[in-house]
Amino acid sequence: MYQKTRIAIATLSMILFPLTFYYFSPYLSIMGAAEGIVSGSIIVFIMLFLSSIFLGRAFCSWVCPAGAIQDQLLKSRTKRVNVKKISWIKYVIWVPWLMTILFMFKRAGGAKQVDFLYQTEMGISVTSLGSAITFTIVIMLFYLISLIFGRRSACHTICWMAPFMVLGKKLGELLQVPSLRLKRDPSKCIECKKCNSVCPMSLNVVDLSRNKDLSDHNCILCGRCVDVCLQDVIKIGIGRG
Amino acid sequence: MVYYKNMNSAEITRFIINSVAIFSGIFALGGVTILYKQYKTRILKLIIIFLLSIVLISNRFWLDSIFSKEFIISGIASFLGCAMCIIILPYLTTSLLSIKLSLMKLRILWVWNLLYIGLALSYYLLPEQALLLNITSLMLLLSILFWVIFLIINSKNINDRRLKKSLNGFALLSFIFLIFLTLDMLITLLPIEVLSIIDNFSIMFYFCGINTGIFFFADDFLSREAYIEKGKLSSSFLENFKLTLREGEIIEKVYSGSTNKEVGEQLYISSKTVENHLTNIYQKLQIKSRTKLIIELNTWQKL
Repeated sequence: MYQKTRIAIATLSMILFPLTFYYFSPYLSIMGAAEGIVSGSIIVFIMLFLSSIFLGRAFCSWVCPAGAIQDQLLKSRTKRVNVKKISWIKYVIWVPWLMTILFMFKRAGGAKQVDFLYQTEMGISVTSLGSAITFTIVIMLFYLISLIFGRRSACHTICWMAPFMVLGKKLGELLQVPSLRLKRDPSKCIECKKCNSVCPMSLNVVDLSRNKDLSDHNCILCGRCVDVCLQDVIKIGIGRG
Repeated sequence: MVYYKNMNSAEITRFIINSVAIFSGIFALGGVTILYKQYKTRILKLIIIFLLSIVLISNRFWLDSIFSKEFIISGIASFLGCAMCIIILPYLTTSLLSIKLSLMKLRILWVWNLLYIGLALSYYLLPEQALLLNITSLMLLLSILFWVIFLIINSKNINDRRLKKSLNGFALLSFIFLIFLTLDMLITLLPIEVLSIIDNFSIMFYFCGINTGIFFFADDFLSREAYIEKGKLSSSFLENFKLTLREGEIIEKVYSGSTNKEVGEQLYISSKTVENHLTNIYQKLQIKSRTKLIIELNTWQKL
């Protein structure tokens, strides 16, 4: 049931991506900052940070449209990526980007107003040819990276939203806030490694779960490993680390 | 376009102090990084982050003393430095004292940290609200004060003699800084001509002190040797505590586990003489028992 609901919501989000496109935009937040406007995307990023304290990175598998596109590609391109080798790249992009936003706010003389619908028309993102072209470029970027380098590689490398959630999740873990997480009973495991083969984030689930709870900051709580496990080793639920 | 300041003598002094502060910070950072490469311990990592935060904070003062223009990047860097400092300070002090914070305290700590970061960010976004600036500065000052006092109160639990000594130096420095800061605040209330010299200098002096202190601490740490190795006492130990060679021999025998009688037999003296020697040794080391002596000899450790 978890899986079915998740896929239904993620697919809906993917279909509606042309409408919601601007609320995830990294460029729009800079543009807004240059005019001293707190745009909708900044509010979304702050909400993501706060939600990840309790929900981990569930956003990535439940709502993220770019993630849903890459999940679709999983059927045609199944190569696993080396997570440790590439996951630092997103921080190299994220830190200067965040700096730029702060820089722009300072130059504009502080935040003057909050506008959730900044640059959209009635809240709808793609309304002109220009925005449609930008939209296509962004989609193609995610599509091609994931097609060339393997499963969800764009999440590991270029995603500007993931670091917010990684930080939030780490904070939640530090303070031991009860959160949505995978739990495991290692005694039942027969190490068939089916969970490893289905993990969209290319995590080594068997190795990760040697200790009781499966809390890797790359885990997006998609629940595929829960479904595929024949021995009911992995369970999803709310609890402390 | 670059806007250099036309400096008068007071401003030149300010520039020199700021330069000393930032460069001593960078040198200390280098020194501790070399140390970290060798030992890879947690405390050294925390010290590196702490020093980095100080360098980031002092960069703004330094640039301010040269240019009349304000740089946005350096403002962001100093904001980052403040946030890093407030986050890292509790971890540094607790790991120096080898205390583990309970979950409740950790939660309170992080609520405080997040409150600080949130308020600082909102001041950044709303520069007209001067009240926010006052609150955030007060919070930063309060947390530094709290952790320094915490460190000083608990510093008697530390075994390592040199660490204790440097912590005492740090406490003295903080005390002086506090006096300067109060004077600094008084200047704004009472316009006294003489006091105006220390205006803006106090924090940089403090930074200079911390940086050079950490630099010498790192140097000391690199060059120090074990008190006792393979049953042989190091000569630096004898020099430090002004022990005679005979006393050194007795310490070596005691460390190997012999009783007073056995030591006497090995060195052809009576056990009473050994006792006398030991009493002198205890006085010089400021300890009271044989067990404490062994502990003292074993205190050389990686931090």
